[in-house]
Amino acid sequence: MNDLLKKREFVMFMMLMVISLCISLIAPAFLTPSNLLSIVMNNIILAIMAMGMTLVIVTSGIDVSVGSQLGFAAIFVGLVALIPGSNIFTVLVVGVVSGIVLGLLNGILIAGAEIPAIVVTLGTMNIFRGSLLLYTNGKWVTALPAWYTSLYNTSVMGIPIPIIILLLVIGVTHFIAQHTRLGRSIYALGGNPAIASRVGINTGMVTMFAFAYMGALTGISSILYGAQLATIDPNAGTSFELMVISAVVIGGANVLGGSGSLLGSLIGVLILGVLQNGIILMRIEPYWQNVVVGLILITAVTLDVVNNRKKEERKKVIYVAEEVKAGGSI
Amino acid sequence: MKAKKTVTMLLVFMFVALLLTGCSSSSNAPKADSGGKTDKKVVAMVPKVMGSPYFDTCAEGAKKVAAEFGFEFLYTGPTTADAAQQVNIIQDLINKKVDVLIVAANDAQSVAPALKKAKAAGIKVMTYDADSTPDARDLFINQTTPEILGRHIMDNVAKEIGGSGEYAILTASLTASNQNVWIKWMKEQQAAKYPNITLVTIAPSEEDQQKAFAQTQNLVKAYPNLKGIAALSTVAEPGAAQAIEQLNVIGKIKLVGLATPNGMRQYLKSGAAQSATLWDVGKLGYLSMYMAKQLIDGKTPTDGMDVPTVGKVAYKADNKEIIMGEPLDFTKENVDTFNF
Amino acid sequence: MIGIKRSHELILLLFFIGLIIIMSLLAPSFLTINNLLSVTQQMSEFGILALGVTVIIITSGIDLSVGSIAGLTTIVIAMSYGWSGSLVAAILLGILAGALCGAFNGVLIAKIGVPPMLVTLGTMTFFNGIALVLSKGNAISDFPEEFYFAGQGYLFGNIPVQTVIFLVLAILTSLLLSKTPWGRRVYAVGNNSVAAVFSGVQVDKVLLYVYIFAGIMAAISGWIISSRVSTARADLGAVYLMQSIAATVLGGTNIAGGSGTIFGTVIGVSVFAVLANGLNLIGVSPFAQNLLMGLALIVVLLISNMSIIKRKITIFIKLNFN
Repeated sequence: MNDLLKKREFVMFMMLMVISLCISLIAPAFLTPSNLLSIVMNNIILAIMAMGMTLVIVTSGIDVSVGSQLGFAAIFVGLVALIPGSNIFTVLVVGVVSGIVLGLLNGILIAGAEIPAIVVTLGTMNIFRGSLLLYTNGKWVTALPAWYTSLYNTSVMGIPIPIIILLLVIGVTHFIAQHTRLGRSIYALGGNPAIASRVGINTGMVTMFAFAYMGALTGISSILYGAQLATIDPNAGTSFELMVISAVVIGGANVLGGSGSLLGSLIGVLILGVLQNGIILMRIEPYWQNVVVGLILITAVTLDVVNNRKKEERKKVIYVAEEVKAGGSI
Repeated sequence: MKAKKTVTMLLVFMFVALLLTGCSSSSNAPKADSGGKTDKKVVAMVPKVMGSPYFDTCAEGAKKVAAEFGFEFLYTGPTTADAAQQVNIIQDLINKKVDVLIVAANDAQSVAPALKKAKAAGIKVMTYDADSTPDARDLFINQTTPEILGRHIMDNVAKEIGGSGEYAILTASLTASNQNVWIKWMKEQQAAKYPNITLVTIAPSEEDQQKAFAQTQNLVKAYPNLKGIAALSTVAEPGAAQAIEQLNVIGKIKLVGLATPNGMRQYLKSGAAQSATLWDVGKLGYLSMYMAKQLIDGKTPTDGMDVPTVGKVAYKADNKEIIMGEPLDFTKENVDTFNF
Repeated sequence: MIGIKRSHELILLLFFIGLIIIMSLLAPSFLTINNLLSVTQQMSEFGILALGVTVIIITSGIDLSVGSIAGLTTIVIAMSYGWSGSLVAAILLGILAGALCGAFNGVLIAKIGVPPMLVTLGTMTFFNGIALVLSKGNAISDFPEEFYFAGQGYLFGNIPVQTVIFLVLAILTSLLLSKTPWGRRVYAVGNNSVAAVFSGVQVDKVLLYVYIFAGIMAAISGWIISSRVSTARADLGAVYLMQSIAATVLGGTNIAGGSGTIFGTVIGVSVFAVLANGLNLIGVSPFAQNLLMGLALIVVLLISNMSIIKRKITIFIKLNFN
């Protein structure tokens, strides 16, 4: 089973390598340390949010409200940062808490009222954005203090803080997914909800956790967003949910639930980031960008199905069976 | 029993909705739906998109005069800069029987039919900021012409990069029609006056700051000889300036563009951007409302007429167009005298 | 099952009537023939999109590319009119383009078995990309006067043409779903595609046609949008994507497939259109409209899931307080 999972990521990794190779042949500027660093730095928010989205998609949920959540949390973080006397900790708390509250709201509606995730988050997407714009009346938050914006380009031991935060997020998410009962429950719930609840998993709690965790990561992203741009537009993050979902999906997570890996999602993020960077670097007319990105998305998901359809089915059966065993022993 | 509860729930929701609408409408217009009953003239201003500092400042300018003239002022528009949504809103305002309609068209052709309908219904129709077709409106309040603006920005680019070298354009989105017209004039000006300057590419920023930031970084990487960037939207220029600051290429890459002074203040001061061009947006709103009053009173504007607080404006009778004047450059020196 | 569905439609209908009453109290010009007709005009474009989306959701699929198909169609119509000079040919080509886009989705979904959300996430970007490449991002507006008939013309004095088109298509779709073997198969696939296979339904064929159908609806919608706004542009139609899905779900179509009616969808579409129009007439900030549309979607579904929520609360109280 692990081999299969690795193989899936291997295919995507090779795709990333091929794309990178093509770009670097045409544009020598691509394969320079500074360019590679800027690709990473420009996609940190995408990567952090893709970690949360992977867990949400593994539970067979989806969250299309994350773009609105990002804007919402970013504006609040910005407003708090402007209050005299606030510091990095107040900003951190406000960002993460507002993210968790929004995510939890989604989770409660999905788990409590059994309304499908896509419907709930379609609704809250409009509610979050609408109330934010109503509250700010469309006004930007500008002139953020230097102690806050310097967060983005300060390095600790030579590593920029955003990258450290990303590594921490990856570490924590990996730990939750692979080494805790909660993580096993998340995969089991997505694999087969009926069996999951029969073996004693509190499916409602697991769902709520996944969405709240997504919210928390969105909150962290919102802090970086403000620090990176120094001004925050209440329309920040519009349509960003599609980028996040695309990255996770390119990375091989199954929207029907039960499978998806953090490594895969990170590769997905890199593919999108490299493409956006590469199209400018290769001096291709920008009109072509959507055609290329669309084709890669389609190819990725199609290849995946062609290669793995039968194996996936078999894997799922084995996986559920294992979960039953694992659950039984809990 | 169950049905009763359902109905109660619905009523509660309706009540909440009612409160919500009541609260938000009371703030801008207590008796907004005139239905033609009050004798106070109703003037509606429809921006390209709500929640943009540019249009909001414009509306504030207009609102002040409207109060002076004793007009009821309505300000509403689409939440995304979308032509189809804007047409819906115009239609609703026609049904509401406003007296004057002032529209910044998302697309010249798109709003024309709706505006013609408004004219047929006896509404005075004006456009501001971005025009519709001339036969669809009574008057166009133009801040400046796309030609003047495009050539002006190109001149700014040339001035900053010193008459030769490569520059790139960061546009709002590939489908924004006003941007495409400005770009056309920029290219003409360049071909005519600056043969040694080359435009390397036009990169879209999708009206998204983060995208503008990333695109700027990509541009700097992709074109090592790049000397200047022209960022053509109020969202793109701050994003580009922030990227220039972070990349530490202040002074190496010159940045000009179109943006509000508040959005660009910090960058103009730090040197990450050399200039931001726009016009006095509040005055544009003032002028629009002043001309609305002229139309209501049945007067025709004249060329060179003197408008209070705005000054002399040009009037082109053949196109029924008022031109406010030359664009205004915000720089390190003068940015603190503006607040929008 | 049927009980639940009926109660949802009933709640929605009550909600809709309540909304109309509130709007006509707050805005005197709401309840006039002219205004109501313009409401139907405004809802036609995304209503037609929603018809296709409804059929797809009934099969437990989803289509995120319909907005992009509509945008691409506008470009195809404009460009082929430029080449051929024949309006009829241009519109037919546009609809053909929509059908081809739908078929592209359908083949990947039905024949290869890629989940619909993944395919259409990709094609949403891809189709939009094609439209951008063809038009170079520019708006095209060299249309002849006759082209504006569909989006700006009136029949019988003051009935907007697109209202009539929408009604005809809604009735046709409704009949297709309820009276034909194809319709029965659509529901069967959505209910349980494995069972459908065993009962002899060619699932892949049904799915293929469903996506072609949605492509055609998207193309017709694009044609009308472009005729109403006298312009072809790659991003026309994009704003209607989420709205059309939300309206379909609000109308009682189960996102997990198997149930849903065109009647429900039409009510769902009407709720959104009345909300937008009424709030404009009252003079409410358009930002509140987004908020209220989202709220309406969630509140209606909360009410129709009331029994589940009650059960959960009882269990919760039992577990924690007893």
